[in-house]
Amino acid sequence: MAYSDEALPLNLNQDPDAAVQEIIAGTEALYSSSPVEHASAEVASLFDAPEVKPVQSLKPDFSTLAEASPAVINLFVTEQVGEHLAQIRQNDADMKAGSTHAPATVSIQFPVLGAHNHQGYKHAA
Amino acid sequence: MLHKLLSVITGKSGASGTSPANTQMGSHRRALHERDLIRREARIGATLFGPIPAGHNREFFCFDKSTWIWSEQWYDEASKTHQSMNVRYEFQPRGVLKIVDNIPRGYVEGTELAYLLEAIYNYHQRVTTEIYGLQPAAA
Repeated sequence: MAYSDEALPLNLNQDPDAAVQEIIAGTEALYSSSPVEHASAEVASLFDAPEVKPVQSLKPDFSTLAEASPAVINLFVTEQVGEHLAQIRQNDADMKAGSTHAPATVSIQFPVLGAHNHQGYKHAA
Repeated sequence: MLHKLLSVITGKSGASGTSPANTQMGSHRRALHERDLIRREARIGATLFGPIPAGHNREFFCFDKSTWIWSEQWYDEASKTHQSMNVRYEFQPRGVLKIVDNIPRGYVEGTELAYLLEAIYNYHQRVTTEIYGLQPAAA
């Protein structure tokens, strides 16, 4: 039976450096082929799927938001509500601070934390 | 955060003493306006959780982007003492941490979470329009 180098997966007579280059070229070809592109498209399609709602679409219905994950709830309330309120409050305060009018007198007194009496407390939180 | 909360409650400004006098005055005036705005917001927030019991004083407001405060005070006839309760809701990636009178009570869930989020939504709608004259949809 005649011996044939072509029967071997790797040419043993090949220069080692050339063999390494061949493997690298093959690996690069593998990762640049369509399976990777297909996977990317698959991931992208997940975000287009109707069941994956962007945060903004949750806004009109807070009962839906309550069923969302804690991370989504946190993101929505802090970024979409808290951040907005903090910003418009700051803008308003900055605008009024620039005027010569004295600030309005306020009547509501906030309690001093820790100064209350816990005994006799009956209110359900 | 606690320092900022105390400054809001006590009315003491946290402005740095190294700033020029006019800057200090501006910061102080700005802090006063901000506290006034929070109190006005708190009045609206107080109406979002149903009727307030007679003799009770309630506030609910957004303290900062991730902290919401419920504060209630009342006079207890039985013990003849003034009572108060302060609830802080801290929004975190792991959940909404409820802190009652500075004691953590765990993460809010179920009906309480739904009611809290509904109140926050209504608060945002009303405060944005009634105090700042803006449209909430622009948020």
